[in-house]
Amino acid sequence: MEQDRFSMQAAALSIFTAVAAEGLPDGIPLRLFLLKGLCGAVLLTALSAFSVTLWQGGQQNAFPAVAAKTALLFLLLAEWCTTFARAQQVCRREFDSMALVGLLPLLLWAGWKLPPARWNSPARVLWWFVVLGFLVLFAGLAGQMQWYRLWDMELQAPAEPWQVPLYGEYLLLPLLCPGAKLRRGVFLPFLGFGVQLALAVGMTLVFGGGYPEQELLRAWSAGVFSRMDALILWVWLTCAMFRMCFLCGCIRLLAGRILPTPSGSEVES
Amino acid sequence: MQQLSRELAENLAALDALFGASADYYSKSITIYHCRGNIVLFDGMASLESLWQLLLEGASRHTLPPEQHTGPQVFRLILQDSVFPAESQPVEDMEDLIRRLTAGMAVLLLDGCPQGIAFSVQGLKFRSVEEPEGEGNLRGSREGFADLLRINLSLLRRLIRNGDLVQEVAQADTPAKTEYGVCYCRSVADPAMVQRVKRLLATAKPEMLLDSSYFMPWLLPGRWRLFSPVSYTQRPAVAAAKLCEGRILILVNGSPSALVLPALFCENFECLDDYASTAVFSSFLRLLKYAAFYLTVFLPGVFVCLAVYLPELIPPQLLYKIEAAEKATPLPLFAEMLLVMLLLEVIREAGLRMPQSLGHSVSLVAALILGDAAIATGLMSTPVIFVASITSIAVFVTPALYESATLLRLGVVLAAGLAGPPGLAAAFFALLLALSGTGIMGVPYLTPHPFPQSPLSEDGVIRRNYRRLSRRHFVIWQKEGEPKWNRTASPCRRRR
Repeated sequence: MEQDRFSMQAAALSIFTAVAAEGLPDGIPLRLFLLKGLCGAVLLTALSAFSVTLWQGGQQNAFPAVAAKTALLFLLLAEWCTTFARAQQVCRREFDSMALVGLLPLLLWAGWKLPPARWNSPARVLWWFVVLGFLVLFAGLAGQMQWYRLWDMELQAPAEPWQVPLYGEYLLLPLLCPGAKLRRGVFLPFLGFGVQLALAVGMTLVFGGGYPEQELLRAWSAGVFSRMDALILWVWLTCAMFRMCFLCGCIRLLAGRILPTPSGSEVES
Repeated sequence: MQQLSRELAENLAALDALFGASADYYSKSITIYHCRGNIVLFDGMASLESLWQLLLEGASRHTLPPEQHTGPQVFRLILQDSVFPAESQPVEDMEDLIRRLTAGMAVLLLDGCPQGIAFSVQGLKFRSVEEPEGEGNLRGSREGFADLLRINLSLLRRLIRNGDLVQEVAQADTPAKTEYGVCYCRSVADPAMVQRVKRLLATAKPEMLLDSSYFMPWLLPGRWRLFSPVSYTQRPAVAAAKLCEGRILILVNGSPSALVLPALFCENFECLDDYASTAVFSSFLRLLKYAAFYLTVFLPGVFVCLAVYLPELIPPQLLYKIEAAEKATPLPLFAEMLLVMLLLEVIREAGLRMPQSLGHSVSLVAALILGDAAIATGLMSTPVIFVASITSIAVFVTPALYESATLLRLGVVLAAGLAGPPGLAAAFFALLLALSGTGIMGVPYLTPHPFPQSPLSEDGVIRRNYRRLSRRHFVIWQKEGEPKWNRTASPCRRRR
């Protein structure tokens, strides 16, 4: 039932939100980032495809399957907490507001109560805002980009170990999205990689590295408007609210699979 | 159900008991073909002049030998064997008799006959077909619906001149027995949905039925909703275009407002003129309307949010001016904005309800006292009044969304003023959810055809050339997986 599922745009927006807040590994040159990021995306795609096979296989009520689903549930819960913590941090640091805590019950209620299909239209609209935000950001930074820096970076391995960000959405695709979209869905890790790469390219072009990612927003400037970082952060905050609700919906769907209830059987059908 | 009696006196006594005290009840004893009878009607609803003209003309054309006829014989004679233009269905019972009388017919009751003969001699006084005030247009038809259901049905029939149009009339289950009509085009309307609407209307029990909008709680029961997935029109041309797209129209006797269902969000930004002007200009106007709607909803909230929480986003020159204006006022910006918005709503409501003769005085008072004097005394600042005025004007670009926009605007200002950027984000989110959750009869208000999925579709936020649009016909009942455009034989083509 396509109406009982999230759309691919909704899952993609959720991943975009998480990746945009993730940040980049410290001091990594762009070419190395490109190489390792590509390998990571291929790895995650394979993992995603493998999880699709597992979801479509039989014996969903066997102990290993239930244990894997429970582990996924905890992963989603952890992601929800991370998203909330990051959104709260943005609210507190950038907007001097603790209002997100007050909005939390509403977000939880909406995420749990509303059917997955209700989130698909908001996701589409938010994607337009993301694209618009990207264009505004690019327009404000274009004058400060030094293109020679792309070839000026030394290939030097960073001290920190390489981390590949794994999100619950990669492993939950058959549960979240309609079957027809699964083939495209397994390539979602490339979206995450693309976002990180865009961020890394932007950092390299503007600063040449060595600054926190948020400085990219603060460097924005266009005529009389000198500060637009709050606007971009506001778009991200809206996406973060979406992700919190989205993850609530995912948790509900997954819980329905682990503990079959009337809501779980609806998902089945 | 009380059947009519064979005794004329009994029938007249029953009618006297019901309407005897009413000044408009008219009963006249006559003898026709040597049989006693009575003509009953309501004065003002039926035309006495037409009635006597009709009876005299009929009687002069058909003379019978002077012999006594019984009631049933005369009944048969008039109904079947004469040139009297009587209604083909006889009046069988008291309920039917009252229904015919209140529809403006004259009924002939004969002694010895348990049935009556109805004559269509309606002489109702009604508002003429005029241009509706609420739906302005530069081109196209100037006709608007009148108040009488039959007149409105005839206006539609005149526009859709084929056998496709079905206009069913029924009586609502109200004490006043108000008539309503359900109209649809047989070939394009979803039969299951038509049946569903008819069933819902038949089971509806409104206390009074004065407008088609009174049916809404039955069509969308128990739903809290910010947007209505139905639209209203007073223009037969618009109604006819909607019918040709497969929509269902509900008209109520006594109201010129037709309820169209289902409706789409994007239709609030379209009008009849769109298709009469060039594609480029109408696309420009549509973009302007979308901008005006979002401006009216978000501008006050964004202004409060920026000025209070994110002043660094405002260019310095503008910020200094806002700051200087705000320093002179005693209220915080958020409270000031709320106050101005509420005052503007009060003025609007007063302007709408008061007698026209007082309109100028109130406008003068509103403009001078509330505008100029409030700033002069330092109670309110110019930027706040400026922003509130822009939003108040912008909302009239999409009058159908007035209620939603007003509530949303207040909500956005409250959220932005109390919670800052997170509140604004939450309000925006709530708007998206409200829009995406609205729908009726399986047709989502944000149906995938228009914005945001395909904003540059053939007839979405912008539109293509009308010749190109006319190649494909739009039908509202699109099923999942079916092509969005189907060519059918319907006479009208586009959304209006």
